[in-house]
Amino acid sequence: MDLDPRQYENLAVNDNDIHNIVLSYLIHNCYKESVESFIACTGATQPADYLEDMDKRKRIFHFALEGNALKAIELTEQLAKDILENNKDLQFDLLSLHFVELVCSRKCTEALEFAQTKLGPFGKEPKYMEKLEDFMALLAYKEPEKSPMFHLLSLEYRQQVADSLNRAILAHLNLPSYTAMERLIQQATVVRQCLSQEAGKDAPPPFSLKDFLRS
Amino acid sequence: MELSTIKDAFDRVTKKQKLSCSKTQEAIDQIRQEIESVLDTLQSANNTDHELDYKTVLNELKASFLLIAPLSQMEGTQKELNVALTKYGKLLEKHFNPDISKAYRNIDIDRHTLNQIIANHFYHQGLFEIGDHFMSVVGEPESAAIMKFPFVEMYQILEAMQNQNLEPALNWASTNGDKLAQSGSDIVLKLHSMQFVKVLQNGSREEALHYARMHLSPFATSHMTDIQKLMGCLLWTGKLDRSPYHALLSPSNWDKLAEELKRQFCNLLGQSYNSPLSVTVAAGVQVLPPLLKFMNVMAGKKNEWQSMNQLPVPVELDREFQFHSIFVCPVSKEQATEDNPPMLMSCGHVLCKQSILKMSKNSTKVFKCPYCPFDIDAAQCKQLYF
Repeated sequence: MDLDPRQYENLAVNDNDIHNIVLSYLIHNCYKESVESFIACTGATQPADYLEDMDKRKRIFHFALEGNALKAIELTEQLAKDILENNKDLQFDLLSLHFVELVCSRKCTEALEFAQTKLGPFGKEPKYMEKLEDFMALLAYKEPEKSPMFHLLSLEYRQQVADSLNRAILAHLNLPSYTAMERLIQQATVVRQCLSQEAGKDAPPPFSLKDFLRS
Repeated sequence: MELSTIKDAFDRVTKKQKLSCSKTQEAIDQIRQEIESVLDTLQSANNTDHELDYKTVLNELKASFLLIAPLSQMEGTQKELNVALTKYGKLLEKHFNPDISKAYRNIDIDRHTLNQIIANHFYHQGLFEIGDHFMSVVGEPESAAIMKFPFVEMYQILEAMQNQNLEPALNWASTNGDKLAQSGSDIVLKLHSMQFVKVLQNGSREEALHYARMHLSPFATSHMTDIQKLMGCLLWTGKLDRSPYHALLSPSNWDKLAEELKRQFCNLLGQSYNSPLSVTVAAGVQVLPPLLKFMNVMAGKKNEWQSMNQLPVPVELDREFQFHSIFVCPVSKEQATEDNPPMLMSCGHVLCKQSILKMSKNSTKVFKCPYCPFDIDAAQCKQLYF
């Protein structure tokens, strides 16, 4: 049994709010053409300077996603020099992406040289030590894809780093790091879980976003 | 063993000895002074042509000797020293009983086996010349070569390791890799790790990487953490001593590795890490004091002990000397022996043979297991071997 629609269907939702939620999601993820179409169709208010920043972010995001971390670093520093200086974790993640790319390209000597000069200094801090060992262990394999650390070569890992970088840039531009859409879904899920716990045995089944979208 | 009483007694002896010595020295000094004084008197009389009554001078010397009384002076302290020495001797005899014959019985010893044990000890310790000489003296030179051969290889490897050369050890490890893996040993990885660190210390990063790919990667799934640490070392090529991995350079690692290699080598030979002789002596040293104490108490019943099948007192040996499982029958509360072995019943519980015979009226009746409702047929019980 799901929640009774009568409990919420009379709740008025402002169209502008929905437009802004969708727009913030599209801008966050750099879907430039979609943003332009959406604004044209809905007549939503166009945020100032959004196009220029979005272009830069899109390029940075895609370079990171492709594993071209050095280019992503270069463009990020052009956009805002202090982003990486103030975020050592992100700096480490981007440099390690480049290291992984070198390993995958079988440029082991180059990878080793890069690790020693660029990643080595991070080793002085224990929190990076473990990560460093993970990356360095990739070098022990002729085929790193078959190593126990293969996840470091995956698209998911690059996506994770690219997302972190995108959030850092957004925060620097005084924009929300997370989209309103994400936050609303997270909040709705938590609320539904709380309601289920309160209702006890009469509770509806656990909330599933997939099922909700199908209904 | 309580040695503080012996130390106290020894300290008393040294104290008395020092006192006696100083008293003696004092008396000798006094006598010397008197004699020198008389000699001076005689000398000056000669120089001045002065008439001197020698008899009077010597009588005076004699009188002063009687006054000094060196004998009575030294007698007291010497007597005290003798008493302390006697007590100390008795105490030593009490603690370190020279006669251990009370605590053992004469049994027929196979000389050949005994010689083999002694020779094995020499070879086990790497004392090859002594071992060979011993075997030729006892007239068994032909078996010396067979006993010695495996240990010669082991000590060649260990000697090379002392010079930080791992080649012989690595060759041995690769030859015996399968056997070592079966016994659950990770000595092969340890040897390769040490060699990797050595290569890295010599400053060749590429060579170290090549070595890791060749020899370390096969261990990645089973020893991931070790491999990660070793690969992390590559970041500190040439400055490993200032890295978070500096512990890998500790000289004690070589000693530990050598000990581990010796252990694994002996294991593959089917030998114990310590020679049988050293184990026997160490166990004997631990067991002897309580047995001697018991035998002193039971001094009059020596013959009785000579004919016993078991030790007259329970003797506790440390875990390191326990090589076999011990089974105590839950019914008779007695330890299993060769004549009374543990038997597995059809229900899975275990009792001693004599208990089963007793409960089954010499295998004529079915009886109930004391631990479960099963009916047990003595004929179906099987002997267990630990």
